[in-house]
Amino acid sequence: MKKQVLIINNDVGVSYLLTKVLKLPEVKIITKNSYEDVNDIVEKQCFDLILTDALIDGTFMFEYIEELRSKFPDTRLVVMSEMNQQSIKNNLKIMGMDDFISLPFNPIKIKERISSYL
Amino acid sequence: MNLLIVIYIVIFSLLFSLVVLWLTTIGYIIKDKKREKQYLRLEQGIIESLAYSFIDDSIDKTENIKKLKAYIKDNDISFWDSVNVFMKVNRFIKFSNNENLKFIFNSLGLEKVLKEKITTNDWYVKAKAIWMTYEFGISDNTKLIIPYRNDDITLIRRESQIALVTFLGWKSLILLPYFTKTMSLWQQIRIIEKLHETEEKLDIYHFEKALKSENIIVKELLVRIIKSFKLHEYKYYVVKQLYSKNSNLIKVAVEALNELTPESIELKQIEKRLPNIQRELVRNYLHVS
Repeated sequence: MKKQVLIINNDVGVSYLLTKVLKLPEVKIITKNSYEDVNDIVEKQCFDLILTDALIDGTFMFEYIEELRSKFPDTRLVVMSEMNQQSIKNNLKIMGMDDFISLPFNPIKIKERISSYL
Repeated sequence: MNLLIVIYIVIFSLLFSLVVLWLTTIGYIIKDKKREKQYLRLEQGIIESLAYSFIDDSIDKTENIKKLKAYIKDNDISFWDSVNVFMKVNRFIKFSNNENLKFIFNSLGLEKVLKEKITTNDWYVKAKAIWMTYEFGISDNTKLIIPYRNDDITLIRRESQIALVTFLGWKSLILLPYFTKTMSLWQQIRIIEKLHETEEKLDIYHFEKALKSENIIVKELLVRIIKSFKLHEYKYYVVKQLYSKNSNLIKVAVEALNELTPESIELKQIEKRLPNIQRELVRNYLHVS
């Protein structure tokens, strides 16, 4: 069965870029571009990995991660952001984040890192 | 002409204006939608070319680039729209570190247009082009940027100075004595940030040339650099600034000394040797900090 990855980013272009960069065999990538869209799929699907931007319109960063964690308790949760201060990372970890990717990234390394979670 | 005809004419004119207004609005909405669609297609095209080159270097990019070039030309897509896609990608994959990105950028002829924008008379376009130049790591444009380092327009001057630090690293500091105008705190922060990003080690020769600057704001920047890079051997320069008549420079120097000299006894000794006014200022700042 194909692994399911959910990419969440407000920008359609960025989601498209991540989909292309992270293209892997036996992996199905689904993108969502708003907080409302994410809420809509909660009941319908489960994922092996969620890769999300830290800041999503319509919600607050820490509450959003906490909410994602409660909705997807068994899913790997990876957050990406330009804000790579240790205090932010620590708080995100407390909220349930599994890994943090600081921007900008190296596409090859990021692909390897994401594959290791699947 | 009786009153009824006048009323009819007025109603007709109003209705006509309303229809014209509606048609114009609909026209704008359609144009906007078309532009949005075009932008999304362009974005996908550029991202696709870039993504393929990241995944597999052996893939021939030329065919994709040819298609993209034709699409940009046929749809009369503006330079800024194309560059905006690269800026977006640059947030995620650092442009200056990626040869593939540079190759596609140049192949689409964007580097050439960027050069033209740097030499334009429009100050905003010029500043934006300089900003993009250093964000994309196009060091070939350095010579074009140097003449704007002391420009009268703040935005052009700021972006040029940051660009020079980005491209020349520590060597760019040799230009500091020629900076005669003011510099915001934000600009100083950006310059220090760019110095931290350079892979070279401190260039003593160029740094010491910079220390000869007479401009108060440049002295402030140098003190901040000494503090940020913990250059203990230049503590004497920071102490010298405590004798300045500029209260802000004294404040920055006190902050730097607090970091460079954690032992308060040494600071107290320095303080004792200062003239009255400066001593009071230092005491105040020390008290606050």
